[in-house]
Amino acid sequence: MGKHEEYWNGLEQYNADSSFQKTQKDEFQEDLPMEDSLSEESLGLKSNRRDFLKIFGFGLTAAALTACVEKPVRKAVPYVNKPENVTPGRAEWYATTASIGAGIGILVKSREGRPIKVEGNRMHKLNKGGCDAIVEASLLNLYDSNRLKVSRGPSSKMMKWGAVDNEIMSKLESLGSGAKILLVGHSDSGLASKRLVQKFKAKYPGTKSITYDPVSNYALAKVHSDGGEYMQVPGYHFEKAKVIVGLDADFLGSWISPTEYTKGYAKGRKVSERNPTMSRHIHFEPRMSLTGSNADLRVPMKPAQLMAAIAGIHEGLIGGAITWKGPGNAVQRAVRELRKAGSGNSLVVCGVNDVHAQTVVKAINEILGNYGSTIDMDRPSYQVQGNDEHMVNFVAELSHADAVIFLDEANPVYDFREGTEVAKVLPKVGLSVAFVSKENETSKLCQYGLAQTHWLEEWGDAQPRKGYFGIRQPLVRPLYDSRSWQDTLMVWSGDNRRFYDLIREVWENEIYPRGAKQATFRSFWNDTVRDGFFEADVHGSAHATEGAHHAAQVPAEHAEDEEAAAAPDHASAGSPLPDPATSRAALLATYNKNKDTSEFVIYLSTTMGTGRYANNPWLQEYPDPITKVTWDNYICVPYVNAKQEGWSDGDIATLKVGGKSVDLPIIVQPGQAANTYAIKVGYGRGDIAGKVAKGVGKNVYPMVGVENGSFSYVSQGASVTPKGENIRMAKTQTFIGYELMSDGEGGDGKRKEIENRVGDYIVKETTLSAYRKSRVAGNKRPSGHHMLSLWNIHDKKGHHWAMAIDLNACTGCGSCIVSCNVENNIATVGREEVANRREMHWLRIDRYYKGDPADQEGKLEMVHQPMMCQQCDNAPCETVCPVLATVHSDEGLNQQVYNRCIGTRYCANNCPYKVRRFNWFSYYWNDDFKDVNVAQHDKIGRLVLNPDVTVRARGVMEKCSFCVQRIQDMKLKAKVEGRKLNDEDMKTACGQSCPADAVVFGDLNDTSSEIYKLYHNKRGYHALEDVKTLPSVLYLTKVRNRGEDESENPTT
Amino acid sequence: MGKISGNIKPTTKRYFTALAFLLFGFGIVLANNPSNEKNDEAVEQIAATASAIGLGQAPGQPAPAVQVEYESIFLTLAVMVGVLLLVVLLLIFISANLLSLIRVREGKDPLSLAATLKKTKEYALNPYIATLGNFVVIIIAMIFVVPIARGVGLSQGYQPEQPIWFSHKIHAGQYEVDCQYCHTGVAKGKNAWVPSVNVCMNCHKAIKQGSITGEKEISKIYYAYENNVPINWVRIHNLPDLAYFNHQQHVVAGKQECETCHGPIAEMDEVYQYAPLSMGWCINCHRETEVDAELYKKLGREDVHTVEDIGGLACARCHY
Repeated sequence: MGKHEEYWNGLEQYNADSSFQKTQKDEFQEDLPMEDSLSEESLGLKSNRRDFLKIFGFGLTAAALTACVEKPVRKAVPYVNKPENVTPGRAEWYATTASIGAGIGILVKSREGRPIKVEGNRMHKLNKGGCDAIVEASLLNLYDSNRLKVSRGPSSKMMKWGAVDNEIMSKLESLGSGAKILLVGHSDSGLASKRLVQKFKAKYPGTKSITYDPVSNYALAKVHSDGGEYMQVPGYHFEKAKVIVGLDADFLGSWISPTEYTKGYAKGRKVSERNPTMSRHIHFEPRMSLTGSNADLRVPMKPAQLMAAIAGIHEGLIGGAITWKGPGNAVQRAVRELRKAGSGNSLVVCGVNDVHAQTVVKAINEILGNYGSTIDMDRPSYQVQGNDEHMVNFVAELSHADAVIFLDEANPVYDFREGTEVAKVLPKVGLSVAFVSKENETSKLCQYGLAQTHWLEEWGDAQPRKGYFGIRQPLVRPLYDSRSWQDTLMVWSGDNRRFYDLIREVWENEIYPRGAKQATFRSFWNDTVRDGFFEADVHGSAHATEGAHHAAQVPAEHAEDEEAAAAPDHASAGSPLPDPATSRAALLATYNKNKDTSEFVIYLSTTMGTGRYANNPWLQEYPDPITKVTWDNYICVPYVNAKQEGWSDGDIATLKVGGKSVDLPIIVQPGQAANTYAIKVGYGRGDIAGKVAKGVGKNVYPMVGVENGSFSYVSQGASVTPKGENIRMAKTQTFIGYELMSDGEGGDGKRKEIENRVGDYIVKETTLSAYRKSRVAGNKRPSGHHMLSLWNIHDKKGHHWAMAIDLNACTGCGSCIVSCNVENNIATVGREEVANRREMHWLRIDRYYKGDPADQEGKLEMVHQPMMCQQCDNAPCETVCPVLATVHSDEGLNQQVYNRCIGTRYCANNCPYKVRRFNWFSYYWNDDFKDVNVAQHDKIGRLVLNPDVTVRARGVMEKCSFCVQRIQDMKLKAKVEGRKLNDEDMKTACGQSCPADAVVFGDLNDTSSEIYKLYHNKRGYHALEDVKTLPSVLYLTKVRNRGEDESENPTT
Repeated sequence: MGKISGNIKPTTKRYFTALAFLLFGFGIVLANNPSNEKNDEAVEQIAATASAIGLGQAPGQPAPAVQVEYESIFLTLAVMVGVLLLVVLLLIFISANLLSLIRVREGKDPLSLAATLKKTKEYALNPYIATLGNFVVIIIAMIFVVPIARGVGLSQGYQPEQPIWFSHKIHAGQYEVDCQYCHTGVAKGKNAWVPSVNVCMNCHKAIKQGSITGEKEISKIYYAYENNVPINWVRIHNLPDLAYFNHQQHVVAGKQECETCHGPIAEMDEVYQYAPLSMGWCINCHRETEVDAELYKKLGREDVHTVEDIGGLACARCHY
């Protein structure tokens, strides 16, 4: 194990094609015009009078020009009346809750009243400090210059809110009390929002509220809902499960509440030295997902086979014969391991949006005794409120509606399968209103496009899990003339208070009585707003009914109408649930029907989500964790099919399915089930979404189907036909090669040697059983003559900053990349420049495959490795810089001094880790980047910049600084308070956002710190240790739980 | 590279090239990192935009925006230089003509430009003289360029006219108002803050008559206060944006007096920039200033005496 495993960072390397060999040779491949400048003529110092005059003239002009430029006169303009709680120059942090991202708790950093960074709230019960990339990046959408600055009325009339209210209220009233009004929105777990909608319904009794999610989990909610006010899905405790079976549920990447799940999952996966146990994760899925890439056993199955596998697990558990055992008896093995785990020690999660599948999975978990232990129904999740059955007849309903109001950027024209039909019907509706932060596909067809606030500008609340209440407080007054949809509905409901007052009322009546410790509501409210979060009792008195009671009381005068109107909201409304046996039979029938046809899967990605925030370059340039592609969606094609047909990355192909087709480039995916194609949603927003999203990718929502009353993201009979064109994809990792991997001359013989080096020096792994026997398993560290050094070790008397990354916890989600982008003012460079290998990310996540890319039996594995500046003590970059622009600090940091840098790029060439990034352009200034680098180039976008970090100019090198501005800030805080540094406060941007707590940062000279302990962990190693660079980043060996493969009982 | 002209010999070219490069280098030094100027501008635009779009009166109050006014006198200078050059040329021609006329009257050959040039060339092409010339030019250039280059971008002594004739001598000197009474941010964070008008009004609600300017200057505060118009003070101490400076760090943690950097403020009617605010000046202070050794002993460091010992010279203490 360990030594001779074959790793490859992409198919380019696996196939060792010549272009790959070439790219690995040099970090900077563009040939310099050396021929010209080294020619005899130019070396002979043969200049003539004209040359002289040119240089002379230029020098003189430059001197004259610069001497003449006056230093700018800068003004210092104080407040007239300074507010008490604003301290210019100092960051303040506020707790709030995003309206997106499944209601996780967050902290927002605010400088001079500008929110500049979004991080996870460590106190919050769900995410415990983790934060996902989309929530972090959505900050930039606050400063999106394409936002609606003022509401738009019919025929593009700009309208003030007073006029909007008057017009719309009079129109609503003229429709009469029985008028059918549709309120269309996305999942919103807030209690106050719910009461608000009820209020609105009380005023307009004909109102029907429709909640849908573009990528739905309705089936899961349907089988778990109890007919209460909220639809519910289970609360999962991944940390308690010893065996986790994932059935096409990307719970670490995009499924329901990935940050929360990753927190639990990583807790169960971390291996302690004293008592090494970890959960075992088996995953069945059609395409390689982020979750699948982390599994101990991941078997690719096409969707039809997955159905049979779900049925098979149930069959096996009830003791019957398993109809389809799966490749290598994978299904049988899963059953065996689930059984062995013991009652209540396992967890089966299924991401298939099909009632039959979910019914069977529920039955499986019941048999395994997981309800009550790993599955929490005391505190079910309210994160999924989208009801597909509301949408099945949406077009017909819309055509009969008198009015339709789209709440919170609901955009069915884009993200609903029948979007084109909606687009046809929508203009005929008597009154159509859309709340949007900027015009979208739907609002464009509505009479009114009302300027909605960003979630950082509004009050709101959330209840992601039963009894876990979050508060959303505004961080900034609305930048434009925008108002939240809640505030607006308050007005339209005839209540002239603000939504804030309603939240307080609801919280005082319904939440405060549920176990608050504070004596008064006022202090309870203040504490909760400060913490952003309140955990209410769910046991004891029957609160659910109490809540319902209140609901009926609020609009007392309309109680009867309200009840009638509220009825369709209830989750259990709709078709009855099948029993497990029927469902299992249905699954097997699906399998038999579809097992031989090619299938097409639509999926939600970690990077782009549903597409709501497509106009965000941080998300566009955030590489997909698996494919590493930026600025595009694409057809994921299984390696086996691609090899057979001779397709390769970037071939434009037409995917046809169910009478619809889409043209996209191909990405060949190792480990994808044969005859399965997949495309992610969230792209193809078109011109309307804004300058960033313009022309990026294609929309595949129209290809979503309907099966058993819920959206189906799988369809059959797909065909892929290349069109004979090929485009260059903007992929990141495979473009960057380690020097160690590049010294082969090409050809097959050499490849093996190169790969072995990855396993020896870059990523190391072991198995749980080997680790139990020996704590240094898989972690052979170099010794001998390599360990001599020419240089003296730097003295680090004060602090010695260091980082440790647990490869066993890191899931590769890449939330750290976005966090780093925001913290360090990193430029986004756009599709072309990424393709030129010039992306600026200081932190990348390398993923290495291991095994056969054609594998269909679960023999292909993956390792994710975050790679950033290793802050080497013997830094190769430092010794080659001719101007001392990169030097070592007394605290072990490898400092990059932008102002000294003259851009020779020697340092990057000499860096064995290839983590230095060069500013090829003035990204903040050059108009070629105005559409992609909005956080720096755009006047409004620039408000997001971190004022403590320099925006780098053209021609300088940059790299990870270990967030030195955060270090300095924490040091100063400690100094001012006259104390030692607090280990817990020391977090880099990447570390604080990590939902898996894989990144630990701290002071090695502090023997009580966590980092000190980790540096003494026997799993620790440095990347390319034999080069003797003495990095300050430690990696901990990845441990795989092979389960019964090595007759290992995961439950012991 | 173009074709070589046969007339000029290599030495001359080297001579010229050296001169050109010197001038070029001079230009670069003077340019004083235009990249960072740009950066300044970028950040200022942020602030300006922030105020332009009225970012947050509450809860995010408007950031005290740093406004920029560029006053270029380039055109005027260029025209003046041009005129002067013309005058010089004219004078040279006149004197040469007169000289030539004198020579003709004295019966000598008239002065010819070609002959003069030829003679000069003969001297210049002598390798010894040329080499010596090179050295002399370089040394002279260094002597002049280096001190000038060092001073570029520094504004020691900068004393702009302020919108209100505010005297620190009266406030801080005569009345001994504590610095932190107005500059409240000093102990709290990065910026010292220019006091907001409400702070002025704490005293000036009662004091309406100044001892020197009478009501003239004080009425400006009233105007600002009553009309909610912020006062546009001219910022005197400007650090480039590539340098991070924190008042709290120096005043609270480092226990420095304000006067160390700002000079005898209590004696200044109008404030001027006392210190050069150059990096050399910063570094020098970090080398010499002693820190609270007791505190560091408490934290387990026995060997700490000056700021240098706690890393005060490391680049990334200020540059990131």
